[in-house]
Amino acid sequence: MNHQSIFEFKFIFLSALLFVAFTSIAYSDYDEEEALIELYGDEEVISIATGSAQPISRAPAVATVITAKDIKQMGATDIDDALETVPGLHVSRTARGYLPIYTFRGVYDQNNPQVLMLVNGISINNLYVGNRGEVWGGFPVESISRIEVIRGPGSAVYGADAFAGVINVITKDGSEIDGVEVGSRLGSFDTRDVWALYGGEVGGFDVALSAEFRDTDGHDEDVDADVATAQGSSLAPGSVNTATENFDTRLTISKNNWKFRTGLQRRENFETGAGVAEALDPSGELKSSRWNADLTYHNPTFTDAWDVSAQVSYLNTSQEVSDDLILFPPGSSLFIPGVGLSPPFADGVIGNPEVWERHLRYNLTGIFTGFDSHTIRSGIGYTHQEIYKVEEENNFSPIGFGTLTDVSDTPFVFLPEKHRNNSFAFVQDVWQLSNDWELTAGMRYDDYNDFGDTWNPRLALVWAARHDLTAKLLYGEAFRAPSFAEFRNQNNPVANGNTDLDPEEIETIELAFDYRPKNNLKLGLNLFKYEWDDIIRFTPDSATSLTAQNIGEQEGYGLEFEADWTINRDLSFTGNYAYQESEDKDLNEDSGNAPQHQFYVRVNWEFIPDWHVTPQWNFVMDRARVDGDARSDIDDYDIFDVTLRTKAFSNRWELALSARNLFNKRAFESSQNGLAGAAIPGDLPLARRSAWGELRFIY
Amino acid sequence: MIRKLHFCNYFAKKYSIKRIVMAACVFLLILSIPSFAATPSVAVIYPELRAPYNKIFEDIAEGVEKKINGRTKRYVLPKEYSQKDLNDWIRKNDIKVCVALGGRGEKAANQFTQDIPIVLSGVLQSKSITHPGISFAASPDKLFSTLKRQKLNIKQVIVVYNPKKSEWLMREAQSAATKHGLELITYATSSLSNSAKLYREIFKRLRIKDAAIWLPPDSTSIDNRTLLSFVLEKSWSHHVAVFSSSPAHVNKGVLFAMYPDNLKLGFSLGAVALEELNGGAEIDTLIPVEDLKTAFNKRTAEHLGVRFTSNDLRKYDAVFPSE
Repeated sequence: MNHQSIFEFKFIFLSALLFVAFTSIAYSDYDEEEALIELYGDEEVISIATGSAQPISRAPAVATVITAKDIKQMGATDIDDALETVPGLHVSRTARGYLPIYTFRGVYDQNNPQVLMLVNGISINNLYVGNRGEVWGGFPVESISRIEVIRGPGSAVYGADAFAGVINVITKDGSEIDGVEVGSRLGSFDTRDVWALYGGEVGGFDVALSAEFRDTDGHDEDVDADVATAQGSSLAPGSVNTATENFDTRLTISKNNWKFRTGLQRRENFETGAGVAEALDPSGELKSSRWNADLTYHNPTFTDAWDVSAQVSYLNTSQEVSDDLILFPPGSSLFIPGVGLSPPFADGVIGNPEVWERHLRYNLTGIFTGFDSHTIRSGIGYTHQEIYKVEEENNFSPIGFGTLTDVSDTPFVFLPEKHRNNSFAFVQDVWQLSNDWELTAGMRYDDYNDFGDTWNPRLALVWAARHDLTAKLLYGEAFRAPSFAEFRNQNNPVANGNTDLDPEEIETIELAFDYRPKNNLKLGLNLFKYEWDDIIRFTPDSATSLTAQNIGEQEGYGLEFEADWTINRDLSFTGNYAYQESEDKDLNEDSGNAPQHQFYVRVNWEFIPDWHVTPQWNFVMDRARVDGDARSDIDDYDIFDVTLRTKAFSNRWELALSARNLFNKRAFESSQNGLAGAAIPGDLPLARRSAWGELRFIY
Repeated sequence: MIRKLHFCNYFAKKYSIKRIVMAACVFLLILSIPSFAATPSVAVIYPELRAPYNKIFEDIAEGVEKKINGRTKRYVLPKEYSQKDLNDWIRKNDIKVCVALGGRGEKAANQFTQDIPIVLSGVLQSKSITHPGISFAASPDKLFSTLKRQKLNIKQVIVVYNPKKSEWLMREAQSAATKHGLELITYATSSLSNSAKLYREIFKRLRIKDAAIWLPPDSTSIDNRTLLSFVLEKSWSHHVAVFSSSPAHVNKGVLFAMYPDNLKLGFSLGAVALEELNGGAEIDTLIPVEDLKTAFNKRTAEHLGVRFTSNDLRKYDAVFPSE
């Protein structure tokens, strides 16, 4: 089928779907219980009304909430599948490990430290690179209650790294699971998912327990050339390596004002994607453990006027190597600064960097409502982050050149063991100016032991213009703390750290409209403009090496348009369009990599009772190259998925089938451009057509 | 081991074997009392619904069970249920009273071959008025007292209703309005298009600065789409409070709604069922539900000038809007 005919087929398919849905008469004579459904409203409202869910608090920010129901509908099996549907957010990929790059509104960085990811409000960002970890392997979705995504800055509330956006994953508590659920999913690429959830009351405590296991070989699309091609030692053309074995477990115990949560995310046999150094490495494997625990006290009626919460939390995370990482394949030479090109390495250039870090956080927050028309939220906190163990074996350090040597605890290791302390205080006032006007003004102060202090304000003016229209004018500043890779990298042949770095800063102004012209139609329009300063980039400091420096400036503007339309009880539609223009101010050129236009549409149709079909279509368009990259612009892509889900056979059993990239489109994410051009000139291929089947039992 | 023997000796001395055996017999006797008492059973029959709607009836059934202290049996009615199987089940389990929930429950209960008392709930109106029960329609008395708490200086309550469906509720409302010092102004309607005309008239002509609009649980009075949008738009621009029995309405912009607290409603139904077991219920028809939760719209309240603290908000079971 050529492109044109596929397009026509898809158009006809979707049109037919909509036509049939519009013209279909009610397929069953709804009995009187339907009147109750009329009375209570949709599933979200009834869940709130019957006490099994809490309304999401109204935050003066541009936010998207993806519920567990949405996740099921769209057929997402990993958090990235769900995040790609958020307007203004595109999930790109790095070559190393195929790690996600959550690109908000054109803010693109290979290491992606400008996005704060929280689990139940607690950061899981690493100190080392500033992202979620170099051994990511994804985040399974069965234990997720909802994902709250804030686009734009959030440092005035969340502190460091709430810069381009904040992703907060809220996990299910006992009342949401309410019993036992077990499930299994089998799919392409030898993917096996198994999960079990339990929720209920045990000895007067509300308990939620989840365990999720995933084993996948990952897709194996080919790259034609890589960084070693020029030397003639490359394994390309060859396939990328995206296997991983994940085990995730979480426990939540709560009673009255107290909540204890703990979890483990274990990654094994994690492969290197297109290679840690952008040279294919089919044998290298990593592993990781991410332990978290927190104890939270929250008393909304501490006194008549005070709502108080206190929290202590702990995170321990690792990056470990289980099979040698072959940075450059056998036969490759290495350029040694000051020496020149080395003889070829018979076993390849091997580097096994391992990092263990722990984070301890304390915070105390109070909300005071004793003043008329004012709600004051304030808090203090302290965070201790520490890289407490660094180990490395390599075969290119001066103390064992050519032989795999343990350089841990020597001056030749890639990173020193250091810590970072942060104390902070914040205050925010929500002031009801008049019946329809509300002003939020907040400020947060952060002090760091290694790079000083920073103040970050935010302002939000909210106007309830009509019964169906709310307008928000938002201003915020945010900062991104330099990661230890940028601050303290050493003995790296190409990228050196710099302890004189300042945090990156961003200023954002947004105008947001929420319009509900009909009870079943919700529209949103957000306009934004930002200035991103002091961008940390590894910049040439000599002919052969790079050092991290605050050197870049970027400006961006754009809009996001969203629509949610419940056409009738059986048919609903979700769609969004995002546009952004971002410019590198030093070069007066498009910043590149991020899509200028994104379009997403999803239809959920219950075509016969208890049978849901959900097609979705995602377009990623107009991704320019960065300045100096001679390649032509990367091709647009559109990916069409469809998911079928049913409980028709039994209330306890649920069956689902999903086809991903149904039309087998070739799709690529941009590979980075280096000093000598792009290491992987043909970009990073994404998975072609795949499918999975799922069965779950709920008791 | 030695310590254990010592302990046993001590135990045997303090409590003789004879006493222990006697105590055990008394304990067993207490345990067996229910089986001697031949407790009559109460059935709760309700329609099978998909999640999360099933929680409505399950919570009511749980409330009944708690009140009757476990002497109940549940029967879930699928869409295509067998009346014969249900009648056999009623007979086999020696059911003495049936709490029937929802339209399907009522329909099934009316076709029992056994002549047993039926307590009805989970419906807005009863098709037959021969059974005692508790409607899903919120008590006007409770609605009006919540309205008065908003300190909006309301003197009139305007309601568009269908006499065929809600005449009984209006009778209740009339006495509740008098009790709360309110004037109840009723408009009878027979169809949605007629209701639309009436609402247009209400907003056009009436002096409604001190009036509030009550949306009764009646699909001929208001629908959840076009007409509700119209009422919300006009009430916003006229600064008129609107209240109802539907949390769905509050999500759309109605000031507040009161709807059944299903667990407590189950308790009350259990109490009626116990009265039936003991010779007959005090009520002989459907009454409005008094066990209620309240949903509240903060945005609409602010627009109307209602002042509230976080403490006030905590008194509500659900606060909208959720964004």
